[in-house]
Amino acid sequence: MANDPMLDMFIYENVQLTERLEEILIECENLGGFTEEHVNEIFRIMHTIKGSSAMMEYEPIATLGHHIEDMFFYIREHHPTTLNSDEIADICLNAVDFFKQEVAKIQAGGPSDGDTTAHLTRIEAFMATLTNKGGTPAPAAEASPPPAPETAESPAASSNGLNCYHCTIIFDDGCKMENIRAYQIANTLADYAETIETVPADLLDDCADEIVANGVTITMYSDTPIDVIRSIISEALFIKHFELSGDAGKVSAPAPAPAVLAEPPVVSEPPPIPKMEVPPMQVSPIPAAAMPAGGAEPVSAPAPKRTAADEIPVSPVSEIKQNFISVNVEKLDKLMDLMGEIVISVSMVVNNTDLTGLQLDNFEKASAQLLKNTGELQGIIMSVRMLPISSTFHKMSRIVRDTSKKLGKEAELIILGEETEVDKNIIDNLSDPLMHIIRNSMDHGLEDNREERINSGKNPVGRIVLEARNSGSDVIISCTDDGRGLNRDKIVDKAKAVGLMTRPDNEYTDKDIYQFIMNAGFSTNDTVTELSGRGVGMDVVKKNIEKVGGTVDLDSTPGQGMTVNIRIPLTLAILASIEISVGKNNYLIPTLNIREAFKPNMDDIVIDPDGKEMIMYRGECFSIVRLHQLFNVETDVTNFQDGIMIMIEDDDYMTCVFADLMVGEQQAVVKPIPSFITERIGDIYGIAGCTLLGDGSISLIIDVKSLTH
Amino acid sequence: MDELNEMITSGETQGMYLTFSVGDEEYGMEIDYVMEIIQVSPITEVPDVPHYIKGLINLRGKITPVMDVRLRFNKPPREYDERTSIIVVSQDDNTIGLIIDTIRDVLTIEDSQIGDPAGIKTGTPNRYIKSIARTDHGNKLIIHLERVLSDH
Repeated sequence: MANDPMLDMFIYENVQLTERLEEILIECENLGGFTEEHVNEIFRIMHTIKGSSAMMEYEPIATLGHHIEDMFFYIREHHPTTLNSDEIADICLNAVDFFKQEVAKIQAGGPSDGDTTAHLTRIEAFMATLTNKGGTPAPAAEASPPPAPETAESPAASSNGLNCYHCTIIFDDGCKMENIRAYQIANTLADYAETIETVPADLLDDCADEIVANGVTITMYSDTPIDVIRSIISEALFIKHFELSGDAGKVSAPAPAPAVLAEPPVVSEPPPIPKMEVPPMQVSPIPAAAMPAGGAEPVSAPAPKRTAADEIPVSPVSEIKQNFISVNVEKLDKLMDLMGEIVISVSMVVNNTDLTGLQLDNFEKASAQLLKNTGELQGIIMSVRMLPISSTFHKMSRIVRDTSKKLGKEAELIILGEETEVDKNIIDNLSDPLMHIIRNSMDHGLEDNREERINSGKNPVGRIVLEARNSGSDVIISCTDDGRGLNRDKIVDKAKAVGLMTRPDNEYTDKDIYQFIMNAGFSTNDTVTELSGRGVGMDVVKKNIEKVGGTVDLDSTPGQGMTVNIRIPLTLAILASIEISVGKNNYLIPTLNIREAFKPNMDDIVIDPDGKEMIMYRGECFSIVRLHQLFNVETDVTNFQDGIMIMIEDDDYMTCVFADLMVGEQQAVVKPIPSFITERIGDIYGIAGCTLLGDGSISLIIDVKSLTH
Repeated sequence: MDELNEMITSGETQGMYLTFSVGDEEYGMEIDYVMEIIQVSPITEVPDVPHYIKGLINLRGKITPVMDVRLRFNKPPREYDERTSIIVVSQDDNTIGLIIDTIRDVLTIEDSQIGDPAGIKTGTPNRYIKSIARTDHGNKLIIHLERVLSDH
């Protein structure tokens, strides 16, 4: 089901649209009202959502979309003077949530069966107040269907400068699904039209035969130039021929067709049915060819615009779009996997042992070229997967809005560095943790009320700063609030109570103490949440971030607020590492985790009564992990003098591992241990994954985290 | 080996079995499971795994775990030689290599030739053996691949 490209596209489009909608709504709310442009854009988005979901037969989404579209249609048409923009935003945001829910259901392969009643009732109630206030006679119910009846009664449409177009389309013989094709065209045109009608009326009904026989007739009122309409229709597939005529009201003089368009709409009555008072324009496959020379001008200057914002339909958006294509992420993943393989294959060829000792000038040249090209290719493929973090950040505005309403705390979110790019996989895993962090800040970080903030000399409106920036091969995302900060003493008490503190209090730095709240046992306890002010889900945050290879730390100044720093790698794909050997096995250690490597001095080795080996190095004592023992590998190198000591670190935790030899540097494409093995024995202690090396052999990657902590 | 691989990949598999030996016994398995047969390539050891999982091999860029069938059947280990082969099988999404002593042949075995191991008088049948086939080339023990690959 999910492989259906139509469905994929629907889901993709819907997600994009709902996200955009959410952004607009938040923006509007910050502005304290809806501008004309916003109203138009929301209207268009709702319209598209409605159209596409009706086509895919997702009734609930279509219904709700339809009603919201109507609401905005009303707002757009009648410009109510007093608008309760809060209520509108609430209605729409609720609808956005509903859409998201439904789309998630659909994505999971289920039906879209959500209940729209509550939403609809609220919209109706709102419309009722709106129409009463506005003093417009039209009751809510009638305002909802935007189509002709209303327009026909009132001269609104044509006096507003709208042109009336009639179009009859005949499809290619035997092209099948004529009604659906007609629906698609009508749907596309609807974006440009104030109102649109088709004969047959319900294209989604089974009326293909009728269309085959008579074609489909579309009547629409629009301020879009006829050229644009024509090009839209001619872009559709399988059209045998079509007739498009424009009619700006009832014009007597049968002037050349294009000129008619230019006529300002003087008379009110829109013609009931394409009566062809105006000679219809037969549009040949080469558009505009049939146009008289002077035709272009009048067409380009159509009837006066009602508002500037109404021009948008011929928006630049559609032009920008053509520079982008949307690609299934799975394909990108495959591409990247393949790229990894190619990098390895190339180095297998170039460094082939069969070639050692041979003088191969041309080969050297060619392989240098090959290496350069694959390097570039790799760079590009990586960059394809990089996305700016902005959409994730903007989602947080919603969280701040909702929580601030719920808690009755005022707060603003400041977003910095949203253009920072991160691997798509990582972005997907960031939303949840960020959401937790922000909720935490809102709930526990910020003071409960304005007075408390004013008393501590702060701005009464709480402030949360979300920032992303690059730092070497990492991206740092920090979330800072200016609330109360962490209470060290209380955390210490709690940590003691649950037995997390193994050393005396004064041996811990403040930072060490703060890390405790990310401990699972710590945060699930409700009372901790109350007294420390934090902890809800911080362990979840930590877990999620670690899943994508990142780290989390906390910092806080009591009374001034706190900062959560998330450090994540730019990409997970390629790991620079050092290859070491133990017996006949080779292992890789990520270069970033290696502090230094040295030949141990036997005098520095300390053995405690349990037989645990340690080493004194630069005045500090580190425990030693013998890799041959850990991985149960036979080796001749068991004396410390014969091998090498590698100090590895992770998060300030350090350990020395003992190996036979350091072999060299490797660029590793990290792969998981095959599930056949992990299903059997779970994760292997000390092993993070495996990789193929240039010579085709497989090497295991050492899990520095588990060895150091 | 190339010949066998061709037979494996050539469409018709109904009633076809790949036969091989481990120790003194000859075994067979439905050819549907078999993806290809390869020679033993360098194996990367993985710590903490059961002794019959020998590690990982590079199967044309795909990291594939290998299991020693000899050890799986609780037979004493034996040095790999030039006849030792790896039968690459697929089950669900997993691709696994089975190390066996010697590849024998691909045979067509009729259902009528296959008997229930429970009917054999030697006592409890081995849980890795699904049935026994009587062929012109002697008796073959048809292995129960799911059980061989499962973690019990």
